[in-house]
Amino acid sequence: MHKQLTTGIFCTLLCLSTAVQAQQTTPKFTVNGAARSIYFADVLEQELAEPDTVTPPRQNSGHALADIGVNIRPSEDLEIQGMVRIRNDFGGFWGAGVTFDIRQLYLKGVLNKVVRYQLGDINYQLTKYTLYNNDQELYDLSPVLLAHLSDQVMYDNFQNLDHSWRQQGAAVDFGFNFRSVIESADMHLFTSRVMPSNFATVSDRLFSSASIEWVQGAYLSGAFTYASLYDLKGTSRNDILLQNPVYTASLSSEKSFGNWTLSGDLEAGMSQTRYLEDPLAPERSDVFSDLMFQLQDAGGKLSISAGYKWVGPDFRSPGAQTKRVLFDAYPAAFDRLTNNQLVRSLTMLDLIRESSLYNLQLSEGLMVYDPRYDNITPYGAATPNRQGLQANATCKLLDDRLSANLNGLMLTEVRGQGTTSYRQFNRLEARLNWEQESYSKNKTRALKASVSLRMDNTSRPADQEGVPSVDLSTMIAGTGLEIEILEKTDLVAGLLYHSYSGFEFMNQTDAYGDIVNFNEFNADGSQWMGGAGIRYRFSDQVYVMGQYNNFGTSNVIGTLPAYGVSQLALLFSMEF
Amino acid sequence: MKRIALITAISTLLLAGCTRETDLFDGPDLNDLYGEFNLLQALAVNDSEIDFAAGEKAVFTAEFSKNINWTLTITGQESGAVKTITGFSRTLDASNATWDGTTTQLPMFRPEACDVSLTFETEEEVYETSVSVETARPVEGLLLEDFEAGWNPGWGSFVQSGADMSFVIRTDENAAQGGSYYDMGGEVGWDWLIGLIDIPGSAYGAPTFDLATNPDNIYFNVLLSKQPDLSNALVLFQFREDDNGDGVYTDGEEDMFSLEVALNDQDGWQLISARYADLVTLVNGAPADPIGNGLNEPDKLIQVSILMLANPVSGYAQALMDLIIFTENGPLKP
Amino acid sequence: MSGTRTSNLKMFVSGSFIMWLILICMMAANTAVAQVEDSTETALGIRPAEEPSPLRKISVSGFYRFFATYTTHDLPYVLNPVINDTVLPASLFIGDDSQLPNLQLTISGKPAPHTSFSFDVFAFQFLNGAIGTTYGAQVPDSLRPSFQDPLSGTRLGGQMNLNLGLNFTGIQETRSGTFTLRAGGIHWVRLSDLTMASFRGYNRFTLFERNPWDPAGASLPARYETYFNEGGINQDTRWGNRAFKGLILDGNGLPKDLSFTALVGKSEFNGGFSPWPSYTYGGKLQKKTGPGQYISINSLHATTWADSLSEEKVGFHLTTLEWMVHMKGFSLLAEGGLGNYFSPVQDAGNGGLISATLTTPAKKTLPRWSLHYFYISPKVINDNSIFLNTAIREYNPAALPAGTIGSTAVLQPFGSSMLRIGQMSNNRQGADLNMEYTLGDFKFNIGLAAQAELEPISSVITYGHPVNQLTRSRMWRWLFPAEVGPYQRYSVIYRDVYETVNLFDDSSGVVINKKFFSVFEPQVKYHSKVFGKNIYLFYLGYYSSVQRSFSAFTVTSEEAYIRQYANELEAYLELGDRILISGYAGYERTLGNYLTDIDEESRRPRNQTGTGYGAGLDIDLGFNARLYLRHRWFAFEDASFADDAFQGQETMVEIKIFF
Repeated sequence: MHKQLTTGIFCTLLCLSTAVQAQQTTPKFTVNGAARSIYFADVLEQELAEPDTVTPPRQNSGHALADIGVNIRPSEDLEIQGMVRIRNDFGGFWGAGVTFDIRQLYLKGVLNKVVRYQLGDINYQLTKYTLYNNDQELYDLSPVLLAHLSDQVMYDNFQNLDHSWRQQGAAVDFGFNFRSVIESADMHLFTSRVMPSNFATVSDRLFSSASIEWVQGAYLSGAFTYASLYDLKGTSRNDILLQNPVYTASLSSEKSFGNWTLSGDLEAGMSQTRYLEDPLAPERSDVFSDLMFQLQDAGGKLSISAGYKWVGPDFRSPGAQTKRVLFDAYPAAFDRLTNNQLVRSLTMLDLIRESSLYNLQLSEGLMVYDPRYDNITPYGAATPNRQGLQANATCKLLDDRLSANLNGLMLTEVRGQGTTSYRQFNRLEARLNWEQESYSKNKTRALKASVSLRMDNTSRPADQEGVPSVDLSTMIAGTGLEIEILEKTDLVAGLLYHSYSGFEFMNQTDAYGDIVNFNEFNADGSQWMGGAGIRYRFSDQVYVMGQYNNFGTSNVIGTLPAYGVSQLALLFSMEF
Repeated sequence: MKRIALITAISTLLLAGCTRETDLFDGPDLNDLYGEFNLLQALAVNDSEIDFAAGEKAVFTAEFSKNINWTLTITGQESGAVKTITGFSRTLDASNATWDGTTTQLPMFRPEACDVSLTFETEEEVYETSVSVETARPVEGLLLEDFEAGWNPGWGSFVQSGADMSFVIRTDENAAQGGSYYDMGGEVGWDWLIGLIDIPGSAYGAPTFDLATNPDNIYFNVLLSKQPDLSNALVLFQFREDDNGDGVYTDGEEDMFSLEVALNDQDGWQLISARYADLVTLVNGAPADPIGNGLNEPDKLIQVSILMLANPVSGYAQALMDLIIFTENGPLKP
Repeated sequence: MSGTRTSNLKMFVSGSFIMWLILICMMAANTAVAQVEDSTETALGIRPAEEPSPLRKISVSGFYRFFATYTTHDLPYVLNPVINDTVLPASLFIGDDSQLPNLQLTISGKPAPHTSFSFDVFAFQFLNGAIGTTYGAQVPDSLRPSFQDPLSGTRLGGQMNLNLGLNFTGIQETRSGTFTLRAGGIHWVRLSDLTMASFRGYNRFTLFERNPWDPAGASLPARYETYFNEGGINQDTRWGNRAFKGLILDGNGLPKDLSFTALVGKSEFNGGFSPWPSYTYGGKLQKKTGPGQYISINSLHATTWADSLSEEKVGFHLTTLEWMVHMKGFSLLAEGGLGNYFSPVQDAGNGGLISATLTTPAKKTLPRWSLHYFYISPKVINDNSIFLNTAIREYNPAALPAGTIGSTAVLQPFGSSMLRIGQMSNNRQGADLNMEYTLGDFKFNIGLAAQAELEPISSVITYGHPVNQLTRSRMWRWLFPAEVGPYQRYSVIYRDVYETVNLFDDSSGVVINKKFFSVFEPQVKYHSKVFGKNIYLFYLGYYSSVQRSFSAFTVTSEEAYIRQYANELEAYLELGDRILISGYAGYERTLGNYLTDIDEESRRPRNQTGTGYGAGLDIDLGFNARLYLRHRWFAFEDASFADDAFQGQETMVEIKIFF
């Protein structure tokens, strides 16, 4: 299937032999890109009986970098973009500490106004169950103050707001219009190389996808999507080949009554995971279906949606389940604490600002996660072994200045783990956003405020005496403020609080992901990060910001003492 | 409205289609994990007499009430050889508890009765059985000497006339393999060299040793034993190559690679293995420029020499040696 | 990175960081090609205090090239018996190991009316899925070369580099003539066939597989149309020229119709970074004696110091007289002279060399003949010219292993080579007759050549395989290993692999038989219309043999050490003006006699059959942008040497865009 698909992309270019392309214009050559310089000064405090004489409490780090993008347009239906990153680490004089790096190189073109193609570095995204780059933990609840820091990390790791994955390969899109039965259908073909062969033990691993989006009429539209992570046969001496295809069909329809519109969205499909020529490997396959109804008023003031989802325990979709954060990685800042140099594990501070903890490539199987951050949807919507209800309500008041959002999940497992009884997952999420063009009478001074809260709980009663029952509850609360105190100068403040307590089992799996043992996991503690800063906006693409914030964490269970890091961050960010 | 009904119908159909039997669950049974541990099937072995030379293998079986970390220890009653197999599972079977006659802790097994014990990390119970080795597991490769059949007439040797010299083949229970080994010892106050053995290729029927051309998958292995509270023994292995193929090693023009082993840490038998491609030219212990063409060519190896050295000032030194053998595609698995 | 304007900020990428800073200061107030008016900014920082002089014009050009091959092999062909490495059943290779990058930007500026500078930056992309922030190879500080000695250690930029380097050109017009000075990076230079030029031959080659540097051409069929009409295809600037780094001074339009070229620097053969001096110098003085006629003296000398004390020199001297004259439509180009080779172990004195071509007038109805004779003594050597060196075992001071920079150990096939017509080699004399004739829709370009060794020096013959030539060179990526393949008889050179044949007719080590070569190269080109669309058919034959006695025609009997018959047929059909379909078929037979290598089992000499079939598509993606798809089936076997057999398929995708 994959071989035809890969050649399919290139054969689709054949069916075009029409009008000569429009008169060409002189090659345009423009420069784009971004630049930034960032500087951190951190101070560590630890609550210890006798003082820590080993760990250096103060650390400074920073760098300046420029991403110079060269955009060449030989003709208006051809574009070549190359981008070079020139980075100079803080303290590097006369060329020391300088690195060059090609950050991006792609060719984009339109063939006869019909076929769009792109080759090289591509940001690609399909549905939530086939290829989707879910946000990292804590990101969607953290205030703007901290988002400024994590935005730099996300920019470095190509994690864009459209949830696309940065891949290297080729993509082709083209569409057809029809007179009857359906109105139009768009084809999207894509293949990328995830890992090159080392000619001995590792074969070339490709990710290929094909999706057809069709529109039947004013009310009904849908799509068929195929996405697969697979090893290319024969490209190394290793005969074992992974094949993990996912097939999904989605359907959406819409009907309006008076000034209300009712719409329904369904996506259902199946996945297969097999290792050819490997006698020990289990063959997995499973199905999922996700149905959502939404009622919305014409003015967009109120919208209520509810639905039911069912994802089988053996559903595997690497494109949708690969996580951004490597929870088994260790932070670089203050990597060891206390006199006997205990290793410091990952915390909120590191998730927000440390680029080396992030994963950039699709990976087979389920990655490690930390139940304290998100034990219900660690792999996003495609988290396996979940079934139940999901609901969401949004309303806008006081002529759109205040918007409130309520989100709920009531899920259970589809198949038990170590017992026939199922875990119950409950989530309640609330958000309040206040946006005001100008709070003062004579000058236009903007004001934005936000409050967000998420409460999660996982529970499972033990069906036999002596076996501990599962009961883990976590709470994440965030609040942020942005006040324009002088023209284009804002005071920005924010706080993010995260607490967790209870007991849960962590699965110990073998090389193929089969559960072989359960490890006990006790959690009781909290962490928080808050502070304030001044931001000056030269334009909406260029700003300079200084912020001072304080991070702290204390855990009743665990070897590390309670400790905190106060951080001064200076950031000058520019896009051009 | 019709369309909404249509959608719900399809989705319920889909859901119905995929409800599966729910009595199954993933992973081990929690009740077992937390229930108390008991042995469901006693420790047993498939055959009490194992003929390793004929390729037979010993397969141990047992079953417990839950997954647990277990250790299987096989100890030779005469040789004291030890083989340990560990695992984490609920059952012992061919896939995780098969013994092919190899050794974890030297000396090697010989035809003898062995005690087998099964112990657990988190439980005190110990289960035992026994098995006996009918024939020891043969070792493939180009065997230079295992000292079972006495002194090889093709060899040359030189022993200094120092105090209580013991360059002699001994047959007793100390042997690492089989029944006999070579005891090199003595005290020479005026020279590092205590004694040496020259093993020419001609002792095996051809001027050079019958080895393949690719140095990457040829391994030289030898078993050496450090005697308790004697840590001054130094054994130097020299590999002379006939680069120009004239049948004679010409000093100063052709390669001589060396491997130096200092017996100064844990006592008792230990396996020394070196990949032929990694052998370097040594001048009194320090790596130096190659003498010949600098290529490790095992097919041109014409003589192996073993020198027993010790610092003259350090007094009596001794080292026991057994089983000198070249293996292919990997070091020797004793 | 100053500049707070958000309008188009002209930034240039350059080799090293310091270069970066200089460039920014120089180009602070400049004009872009798109003639976007730049308002001069306030004073630019502290230094330089005054406004830098504006550049006349900055232009950016270059190309984007994507090239990917997917090869499948049905037989486990042995690549290197020592480490028993065989081909993989399938391999996907994105990029091109003929060192042509994916993106090349040539940035040139004209600081003054007649002076210009240009530099290029290029980048490779192998689509390995290595997406991390260090997309290229990030160089840790410990490995970084110090800026006093920038060449040791790992260079910055990983996959970014300068290809032709920094070139400077200055033109100065004076009353007595125009002088052009070229300096800096690689420039393309041609003096004369015997001194400095690269082989062009009689334009007999196949077009099915493109050279990486082939231009996109004005329109899709232009490439095949030009080949049919004029016999050549429009080539890149490097065609017929040699790469040269150093100082080149040209003087044209001097009084008394004189013109000259003087050059000093390094050619590809004294490359490498060893500190010992190694350079090439020479030049040409030419006097025009009529329309298209001239007399010129060309000379080229190379000297390399072979040891650190600079006592022993290696090199050659070569001086020739060249005469071009036209009489009643006939034209004669003759070049002859003296040359020698000296090294610490050899100094055989001077040897003569001559190459003369007489061409008949170009008449519509009559075929056009050209007769070429050459004689090159075994004592003469000049790797920069079009004649190969198969006689002198060059003394190589640095003894650089094959494939490293500056190493010439393998890049020239050694031993007596079976050449194409027009190619020459030292220790050889020969004559070849070429006929070009147009008859209706057919064009014939047929060559016949007979050559002979002057002295029997080596008992080794080398020859290539025209069918599957590039497929074979792609089995060994990036390296130019020698003595590889099943019987260690292949050696890999740039985009080709030659096979070495040992002869066994010497008497106890002394070579007694001189070798004679006969080559017959028929080429027929046909053009017509099918349903109003152009179709081109090109047939190219190559019948060559090497034997122990003279023969005007190719020897087809057991007399010949090696007989090789290769036939290649290509077809190109325009489907529309944006799509063109192509086909290729190649069949090649090579036979050896019992005086060459014999296989141990079959007890028989070489009996090789090579076949290649291909289909392809050229697609016009828009202005100066082409997509080329090729799919080939290839097979080769040697009936006597059983292990030397490979078979498989290869798909190639190439996108080429010039801007």
